[in-house]
Amino acid sequence: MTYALVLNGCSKTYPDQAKALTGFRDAFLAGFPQGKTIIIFNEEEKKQSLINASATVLVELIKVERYQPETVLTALQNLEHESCRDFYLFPGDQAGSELSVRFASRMGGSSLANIYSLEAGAGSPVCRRAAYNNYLEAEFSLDRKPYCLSLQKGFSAHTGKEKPKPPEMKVIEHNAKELNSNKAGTGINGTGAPDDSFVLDYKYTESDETTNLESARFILAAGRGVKNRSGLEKVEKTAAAIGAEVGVSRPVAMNAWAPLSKLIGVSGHMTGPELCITAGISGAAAFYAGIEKSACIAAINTDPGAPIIRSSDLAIIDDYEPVLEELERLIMENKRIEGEDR
Amino acid sequence: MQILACFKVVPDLDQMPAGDWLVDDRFRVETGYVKNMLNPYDESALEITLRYADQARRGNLPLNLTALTIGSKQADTYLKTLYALRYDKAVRVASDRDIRFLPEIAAAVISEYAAEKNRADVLIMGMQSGVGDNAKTPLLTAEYLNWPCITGVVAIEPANNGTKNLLKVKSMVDSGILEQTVRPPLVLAVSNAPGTYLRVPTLKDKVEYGKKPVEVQEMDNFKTGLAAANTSGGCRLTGLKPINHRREGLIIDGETAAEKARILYHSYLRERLGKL
Amino acid sequence: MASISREQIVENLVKLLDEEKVVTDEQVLKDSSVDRFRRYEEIHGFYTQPLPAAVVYAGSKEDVASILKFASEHSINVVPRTGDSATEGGLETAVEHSIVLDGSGMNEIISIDPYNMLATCQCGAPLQDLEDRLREQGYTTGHSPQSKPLAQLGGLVATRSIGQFSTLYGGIEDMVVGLEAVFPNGEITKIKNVPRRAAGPDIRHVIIGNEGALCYITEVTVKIYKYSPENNYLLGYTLDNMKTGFEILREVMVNGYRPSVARLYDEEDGSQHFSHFAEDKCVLILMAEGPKPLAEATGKAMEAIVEKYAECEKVDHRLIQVWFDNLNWDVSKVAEEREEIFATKNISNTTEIAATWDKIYDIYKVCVERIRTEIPDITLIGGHSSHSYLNGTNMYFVYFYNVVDCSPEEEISKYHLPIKRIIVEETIKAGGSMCHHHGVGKHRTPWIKDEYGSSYYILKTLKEAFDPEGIMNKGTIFPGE
Repeated sequence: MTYALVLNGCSKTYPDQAKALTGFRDAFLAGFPQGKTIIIFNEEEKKQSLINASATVLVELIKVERYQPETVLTALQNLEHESCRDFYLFPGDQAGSELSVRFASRMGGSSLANIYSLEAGAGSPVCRRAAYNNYLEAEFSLDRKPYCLSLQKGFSAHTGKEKPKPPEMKVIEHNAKELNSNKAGTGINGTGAPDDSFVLDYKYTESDETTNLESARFILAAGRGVKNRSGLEKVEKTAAAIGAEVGVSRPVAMNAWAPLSKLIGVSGHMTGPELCITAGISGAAAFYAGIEKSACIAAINTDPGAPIIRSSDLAIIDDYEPVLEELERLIMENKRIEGEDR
Repeated sequence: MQILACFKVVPDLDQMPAGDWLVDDRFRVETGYVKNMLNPYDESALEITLRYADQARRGNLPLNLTALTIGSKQADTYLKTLYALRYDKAVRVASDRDIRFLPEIAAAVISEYAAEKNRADVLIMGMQSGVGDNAKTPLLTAEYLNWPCITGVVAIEPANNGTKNLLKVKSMVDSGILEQTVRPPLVLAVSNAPGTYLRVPTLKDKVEYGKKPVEVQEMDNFKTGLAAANTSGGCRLTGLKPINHRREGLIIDGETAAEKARILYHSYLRERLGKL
Repeated sequence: MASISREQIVENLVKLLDEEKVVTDEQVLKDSSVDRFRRYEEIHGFYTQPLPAAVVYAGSKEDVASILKFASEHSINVVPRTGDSATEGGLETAVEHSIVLDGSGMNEIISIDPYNMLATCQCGAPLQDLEDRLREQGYTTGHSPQSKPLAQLGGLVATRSIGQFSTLYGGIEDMVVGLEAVFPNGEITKIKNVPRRAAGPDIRHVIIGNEGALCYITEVTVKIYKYSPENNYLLGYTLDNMKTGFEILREVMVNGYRPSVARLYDEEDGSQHFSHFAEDKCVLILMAEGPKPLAEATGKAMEAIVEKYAECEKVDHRLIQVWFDNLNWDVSKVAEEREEIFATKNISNTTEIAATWDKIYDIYKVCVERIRTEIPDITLIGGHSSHSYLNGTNMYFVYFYNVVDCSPEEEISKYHLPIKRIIVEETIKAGGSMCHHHGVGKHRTPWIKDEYGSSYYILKTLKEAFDPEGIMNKGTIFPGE
């Protein structure tokens, strides 16, 4: 069995992608012979750092002008169609999920998006992922190679020790333009796959919203119970004071009380802080998945029947406002005392 | 512009009582007791389409909207609503096949309908829906049609004042916002799109537009597509079980909210926060 | 109407209570100038009512007494408030420089007495808290309005509220045992807790339903009942005609059965709740509860009654149970609704009336028909009956409309009031009551004299006697001048 890890080096999330894929490889493909890493990239100066983060000795680089899914797909297809690997692993973001599905379709393989486990033995590989809005776990058996899998968003595996870096990398460089000019990609219907000529012009604005939700150790998460934008602003103030990152549930983001970048849950960030306090969140499973890895969850909600209560370690049944007010006072007081001690 | 918007009616799974997640030996789950709703991503796609239509109509641009769903008669009430909201055609592909985990079939039906029956320029639909959670349908549809695909779409509008049938598409990508002028045909996939509740038709519009019969197509008639789908896919569902979300849920009691906060802080949080 | 300035009012209030109990923050004042009736304006940031001079948080009946006395002396309008879930404008501050007297801080559950089956609370105790506490001990108030997660005892009594199990337990007037209330002159009055008495008129009814227009309720004692949900006998049916549904409800009631839930939805209103199993159908829901033999006997008897009507099709009771479990309105649902209204410009409102069996169907029919044809931009008009009695039942009209071609502050005059007018006038014309359980508030007062007829003399005299200065919630129940 052979595998390839496919990474998007055009994105600033590259380090997270690399970490997640390496972790997954170590957790589920440890017994396999060395695979390879395919890195899509667009900036020459970043090349070396991209290569350095690779988990395999063999690295194949595909240079693109910009990350354009159609170009990338066709390049991947042209690169791999002659010596197809058994497994292709993609990161759990929007781009990775898209590539896994479309690439599999072109290669006549099977794909699954958002998986968090894999059993690859002698028979058909078996993967697991969430279904039914995260209420259920579904298990699938894959029947056709190549198996193209994208990871669950925010996937992280604790493999214990850091693997030593391979002594020497073997790097092969490609250019998407050249790959794609030799032969046009072919879809399963036998006709040519699209290229990027449908885009007449484009403007990319990198998000200036930065959140550290994924690495945060202390999160204060707010839900519909904060009632409105100003309610959320108050929560943000409290969070800033007590040193917590703010995250929100889907209704809050959909109502635009907070930017999407603050969204926690299957369609947002998957977090794993030491402490997560939830305020006014009922705890739908799709949200809970985003805080499931918290070491401790403390929920504040007026409804003792809310699902979040059963899914928390500690719970206060009350209005979140006076509770947060008092917590803020206590934490600030403690900070002051500790400051004086020093 | 000929736009085909696809949607799915799903159960509101957050209403399911915790103890009711029972899976039978054919991996089915009884969700018929809870209210159904438009899949939220699809709801956004339908509203994004209507907002495009508002602009196109203002500019007197040629426009034709079709809404398509695959499923049981339950979806007809949504299709009628879409008629009332001025979709020109509402189509249901009738099927009792269990396609929860077979997005290939949905994609095959949609792509065949788009290419042969509808001659759509643009296909728009939600990225995934919370039963199968496959996150594949729009992507496979694009592949089957050999059309490009844009994911994370939040808005579309006519480009260049509608000349040449061009489209301006705004989408969220992993770390920013992409605004592109594009030439159809293409597939648009919608996920989180803030502020896109589907508008509500008036009774008058329901009477005037909503009484048109829903066009029902039998799934078995989509032979080409289904054959194509069978060559793809390759995933078999082999298990389905509830995920245990339970934690201790220790309820902290006190006279007032502030007292509860103090107990929480002193007994549980202070030490933990100290280690951060 | 106040004889002193806004600033002087605030100054004096601070002297009477603590500074922290007197709030003059502008946003708080704005929010306190309206209730759900004007939420369309409010969601769009429009506040058309005079802002109150202050919101005062009373901590005791003595606080209430001193504020009311002060207000009387200076002719200052006082709007009593607890849970802030009113829907009919009762909490609007219709007069300049009003004081909103908020009792939500008086939230103690004073005693639960299972031997005599009594529970006593301060006015600001949330019904949800009381109900949760009772259920832990195996009891219930039997009171379950949709506003249960928000409403508090004082307001529930003041508006003559009713809950989803009323057909068995009655409205709040059937639950109240004793009361404490403060009158505008500062008089603190307490009505003791006895099972019954024949010692003159039942003066509790001066207080219950006064909507803050006569006095301020500070304490409430209600009956409690044994809680045995395991015996619930839940029945659900689909049917074609509301007329049949009313006939069934009547037959159940006149034959002496006491379901806790007796609800009948028309197809339009039902489409919001039941489209997954009852498309284009009416829905009838019946539930029996209480001790097992009683619940079972009642349930079976009701089943037998319904079986006689061929058009009724029984549905799985789990469909009804899941719906019921998700029925109540909490803070989150209210927040979500606001965003939807803002985004879609589509808003719902309700008007609830009651009439005898012979009238109810005709009222229902003519109102729905008139609203459908006379009011523009309607997106849904329907209703349900949710509380039945020996002599008749109620009708809860539900209507949604798109607010089109008008500014947010015109929404009420363009849509809501014309709809209300149709319902109220048709109901009164037919001999029904224009208010079943939300109270009169400030927008049904134009018809209060028609509602009462010659008995208005009694009502009016209560106002003159107990609130001679006219400081209590001006414009509520009694038309403002």
